[in-house]
Amino acid sequence: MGAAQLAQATVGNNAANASTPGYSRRRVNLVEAPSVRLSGGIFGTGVQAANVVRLRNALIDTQRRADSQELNYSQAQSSILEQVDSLLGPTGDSGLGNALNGLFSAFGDLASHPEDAATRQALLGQGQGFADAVRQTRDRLVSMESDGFASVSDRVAEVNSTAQRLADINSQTLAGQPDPSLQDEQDRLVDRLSELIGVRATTRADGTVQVVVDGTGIQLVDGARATALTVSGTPTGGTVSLSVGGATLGNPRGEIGGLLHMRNSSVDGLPAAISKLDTLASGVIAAVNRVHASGSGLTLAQSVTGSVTVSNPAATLATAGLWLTPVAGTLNIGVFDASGNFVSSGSVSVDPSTMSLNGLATALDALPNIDASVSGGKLVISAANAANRIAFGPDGSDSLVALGVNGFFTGTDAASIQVSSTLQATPNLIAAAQANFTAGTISPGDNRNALALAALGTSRILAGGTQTPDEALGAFGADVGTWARSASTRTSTQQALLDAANAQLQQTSGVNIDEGLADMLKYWHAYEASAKYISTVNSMIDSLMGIL
Amino acid sequence: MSASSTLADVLDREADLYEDLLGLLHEEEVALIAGNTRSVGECLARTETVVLQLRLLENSRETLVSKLTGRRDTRLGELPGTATDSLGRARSRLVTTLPLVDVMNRRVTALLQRALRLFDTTLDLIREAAGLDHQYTAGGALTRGTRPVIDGRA
Repeated sequence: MGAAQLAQATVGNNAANASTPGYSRRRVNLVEAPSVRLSGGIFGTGVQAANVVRLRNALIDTQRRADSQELNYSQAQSSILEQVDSLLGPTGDSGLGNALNGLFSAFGDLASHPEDAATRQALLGQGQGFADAVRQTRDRLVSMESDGFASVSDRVAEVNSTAQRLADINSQTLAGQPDPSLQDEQDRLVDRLSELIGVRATTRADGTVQVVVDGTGIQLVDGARATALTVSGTPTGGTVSLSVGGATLGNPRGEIGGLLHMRNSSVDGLPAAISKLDTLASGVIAAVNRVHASGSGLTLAQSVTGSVTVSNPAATLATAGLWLTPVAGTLNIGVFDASGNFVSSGSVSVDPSTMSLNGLATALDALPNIDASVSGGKLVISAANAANRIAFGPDGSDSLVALGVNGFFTGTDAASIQVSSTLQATPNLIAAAQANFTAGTISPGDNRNALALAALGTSRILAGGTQTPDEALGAFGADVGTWARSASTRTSTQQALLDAANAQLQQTSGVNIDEGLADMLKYWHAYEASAKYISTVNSMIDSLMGIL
Repeated sequence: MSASSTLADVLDREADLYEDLLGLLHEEEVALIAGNTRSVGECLARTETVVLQLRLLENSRETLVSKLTGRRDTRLGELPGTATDSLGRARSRLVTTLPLVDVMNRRVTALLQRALRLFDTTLDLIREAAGLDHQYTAGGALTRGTRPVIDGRA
């Protein structure tokens, strides 16, 4: 009677916990009670309850946890990539596309009205708009990096507390009789660890659970002992890594793995997006400044100071760590008086493998009517006579661009891009014209440099001369979109797999070959056939997509 | 009917079939997640028919393109005088539908591979439990030995 009551109670408990997450059905194992020998013979005494066992299929559990960790890995990536895509994708809200088009359109306006002050002011506005959009976009990406670091730290803290709780349960288990409710909690905790970081759990004969970080062999929980994970790295920049007891976790899975991948990957993570944005910004800065540096404004400056600081002016230009390495070529420079009359011109041959910044300043200083020096690591070029002005001609060495002399933009990447503060203070210095040192002329109405600047908008100046600015931005957005779609597809596939494993877990009560073997083999063949049909459909789709 | 309008008709019918296939794949996905092997089998039977029809249409499509250009792999945009509305509509339907079928294919493939692995593992377990000297017929019957029962310890 007692055994029957326990069995009924167990069934009732199963029903009551039908909706409890992580609850496993129990079954009462009944065994024959010891017989008694009486004078009339041996009499059975019925059954007694041997124990209550949980019905749990370890194979499906393992599979479900593997699915769960992969789902969480993909979801973490997908969630961040969706944000990046919404920022940078074709319909993104960074405003980069409009700002880029606005910049080159404003250069076109300058070409139409090179002497118009309002047009110059509008160009400065468009330039600053572009620079702001680039910097803000980068700030958003860096902020995502920082958020990712904070999320990793939070999740690691949760891993540590979860592992400690498992160790505590192991400790209780070692101390007494295994309790099915504690075993359920063990399963829930292992499930959570799988979601967070991806683990493999093994239940030992003594009822304790040993937990190893999946794919590493590094133990998180062993008996009553839990080992803490630690996070290394900084919120932004560099690489964030995890370690356990001094051993680095190479490629963790789960949500933490996904977050770390996004935080660290230079292929399809946030560093990759930031690097691509930096490359785009550097390319635009270099191309615009290359043209602008060789032009002349409505008025000319008596002195120009480069915006780039060289830490070791004695190092050759090739090894000075410049953001853009100069090439061998000739730099032309001229001097005009305050009325625009030609005074003199000269040129310097630059060989970056032998010439340092100091050497360049010395060579420029040797030109007639020119003073040049290095101040605080920056190149300063002035007209020797304070009443005269300087004008730059073609620079085949890229030295002016590399040193930030007479540029439209200052800065070297997406983090530092700005419109030159000198131009903002004196818009007439915007170089719409080109000085003619041979004829000794400079004309205020000349728009040749503005035309060259406007033409950059449709020229293949980026990605090694293969893409226009618009195309480069489009390719950047397309790359990000591809990463996001790929992560999203992986997520939806993993979700389907996890749903299937969960459904199988719910059905678990044992496999009886008497009932199912024939069906199983039949369906095994059907499933295989179905997989083959899908393969056929794939090749037909490939063929058809090829002609669309 | 000109070759180009016939081609548009073929592509249109292919688009119809791929839309049907997308529905079938969705049904199969639901069945696989639910572990409903019978429904998966039913989906397979219907998929066989659709794939056969698609193969026939693909042959027709390749023959028509070959007739128009001398090559079987010419892109639709390169076909001479084929910039018709009907061809454009059919192409547009396929451009919309094929990527969806592709994504659904990947999901169903993953589910099928999972299910097959589970079958394999279960059959291995049964084989282990039954002993090495026992064989199963294609119908699933054991040729010798006692039929074992495996409970939730799998």
